[in-house]
Amino acid sequence: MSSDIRALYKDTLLARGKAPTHRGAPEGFATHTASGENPVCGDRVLISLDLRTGRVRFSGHACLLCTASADLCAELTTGLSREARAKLVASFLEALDGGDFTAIPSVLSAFSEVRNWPIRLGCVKLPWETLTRLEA
Amino acid sequence: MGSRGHALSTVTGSAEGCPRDLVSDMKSLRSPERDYFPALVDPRRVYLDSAATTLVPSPVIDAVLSVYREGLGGVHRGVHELAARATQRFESARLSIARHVGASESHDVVLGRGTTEALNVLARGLSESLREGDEVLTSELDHHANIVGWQLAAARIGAVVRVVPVDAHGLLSVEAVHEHMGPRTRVVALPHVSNVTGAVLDVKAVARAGRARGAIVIVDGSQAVRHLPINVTELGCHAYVFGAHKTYGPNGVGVLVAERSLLEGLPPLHGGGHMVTNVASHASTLAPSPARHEAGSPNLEGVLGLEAALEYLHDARMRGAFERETTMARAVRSRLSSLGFLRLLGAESPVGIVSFATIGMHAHDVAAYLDSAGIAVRAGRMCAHPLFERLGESDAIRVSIAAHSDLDDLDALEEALRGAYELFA
Repeated sequence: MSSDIRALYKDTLLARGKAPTHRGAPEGFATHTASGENPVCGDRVLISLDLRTGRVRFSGHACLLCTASADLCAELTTGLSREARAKLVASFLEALDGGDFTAIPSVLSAFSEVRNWPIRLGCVKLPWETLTRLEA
Repeated sequence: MGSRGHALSTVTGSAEGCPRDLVSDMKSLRSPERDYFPALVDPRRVYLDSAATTLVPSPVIDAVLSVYREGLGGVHRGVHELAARATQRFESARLSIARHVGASESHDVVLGRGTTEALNVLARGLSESLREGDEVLTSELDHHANIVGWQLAAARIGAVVRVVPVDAHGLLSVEAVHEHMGPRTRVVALPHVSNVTGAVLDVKAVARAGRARGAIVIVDGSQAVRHLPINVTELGCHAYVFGAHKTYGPNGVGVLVAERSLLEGLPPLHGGGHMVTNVASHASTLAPSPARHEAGSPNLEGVLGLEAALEYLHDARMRGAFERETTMARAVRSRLSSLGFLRLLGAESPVGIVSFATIGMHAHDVAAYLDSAGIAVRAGRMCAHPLFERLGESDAIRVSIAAHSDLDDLDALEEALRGAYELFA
C-alpha cells in the first residue's frame, strides 16, 4: 500500500494532466522530434522542438502524471537556449532522484511526492528524458 | 476500503451487479484460504495480481526455509549425509511434481529457472532441427515469453513464425489454429490460458490437430496450473511448461514436462556441471534427459517450495477452492461490467483473469489509486503487446484472483474504482 493518492495527484497536476495546454503535433513547426516509450505501461510521448524559435510541444498517449509532466516540460523549456534547456532537464531529473527541488521552478515541486512512488518515476521522467535524446 | 472482517454483513452490498444464482452462494464465499497467506495478515490488503505473481502460502514458506534450517548440501554432488538428503528430497520433489501434472512414464520433468527459460530450451533446441521455410505457429493470445524466443530461434535459420489471430472477442479458436497449420508447420506453441483475458484454449483438440500434421505441440501453462486441474498425458501435447511463482510457489523455478523422446533429441540450452557423463578437454558426453537440460546446481529450495505449492493447491481444491474460484471468476466479470466506465476485454471465462480498459482514465493512474486503497492489480499491456494491438487498446487493468480471493476483495475493488473515476475522469 503506497502513500496518500492526493499527495501524488495534486490539484495542479490533475488540472494539467486532464487539460494540457502545450499538446500539439509536430507537423508544420518542428525542426526536431524525438519519441519516448515506457515499456512498463506503454506510454508514448513525442516531443517536438522548433530550434529556430525554441518552441516545444508534445503529443502521444500517456498517463495523467506523464501528461502533466510533458505539459510542464514543454512550457518551461520553450524559449530557452540549448544550454538552459539542458540545465533545467538535468536539474529536474536530479531532483526526482533525491536532489534539490528548490533550484528549479517551483511549479515542478508538485512532482516531489512521486519520489515515494518509485514505479511512477518513469512516468514523470519520460518527457524530459525524451527531450534530452532529441538534443543529443 | 473494503470491510474485511465483516464479510457476512456485506452480502447485501455485494449482490449488486451479480447474477441472481450467485447471491445464494455468497455467504460461503468468504475464502478460508486467506488464512494460509502470511502476506494477507493485514486485513486491508487486497491482492488481485496473481496472474503476475501469486502470494505464497505458509507451507511453501516452511518448505523453502527447511532447506536452510536443515543445512542441506548440494544436489547431485557430495557423498556426505546432507548432500545425500538434498538429492533425495530434490528427486522426490520431481516425482511429486510429475504426479501433480499427470506426467506418464514416457515423460520427463525438467526443473529449471522459469517458464521463459523452459520455452527457450524448446525454441533453441528445436530450431536445430528446423529448416529454412519451416513454420512455427504462435498466436496473438501469447505472452511475450512464448513469442520472442521463437522469433529469435526462427531468425537464426530462416524459419517463419506464423501468428494465429484471435477473433473479435479475443478468443483463440481451434478452427483458427487448424486453418493456420500448413505442410511446413513443425511447431505449434500456444498458451493454455490467456494472461490477459483468462480465455482457455482447448489444448486437447489443438494437440490432436498438431499431431495429425506431424507438428510438435507445446503449451504454455503459466496461467493454467493454479486454476485448472492439469493432466499432461490426457492433454496430449508434446511439452507443457509453467512457472512456480504463478502457482503459489517461489520465484526462479520453472517446469518443463515433455515426452522423453523429445527431450533426448533436444540440444541443451546451457552447458555445465551435472548435464554430462564425461568431460574431456575438447568434447563432452551429454547425460540423458532430464539431467542434460539441468546444467549447474539446481534451485533446491525453489523446487521444494514448488512441490509444497502443488500440494497446497491440491489440498485447497479438496477444501472447495476450485468451486469458489469459478464462482468468483463470474462475480468479478459481472461486477466489473456493471460499472459504466470500464470496457472489459475478451469474453467470459471460468478462470478468474479479467482485464478492462478504463474509459477516460489511464490504467496506470487507476492502478495507483487502487494501490493507495490497498489493492494490488496489474496495469499496462501485460507482456502481450500483439493482443493489445489486435484489440485496439493502449493499456488496461488486469484483475486476477486466487484461492484467497473473496467478495470483500470485490467490494473494495468496486469502491476504489468508483473513487478513481471521481478523481480522474
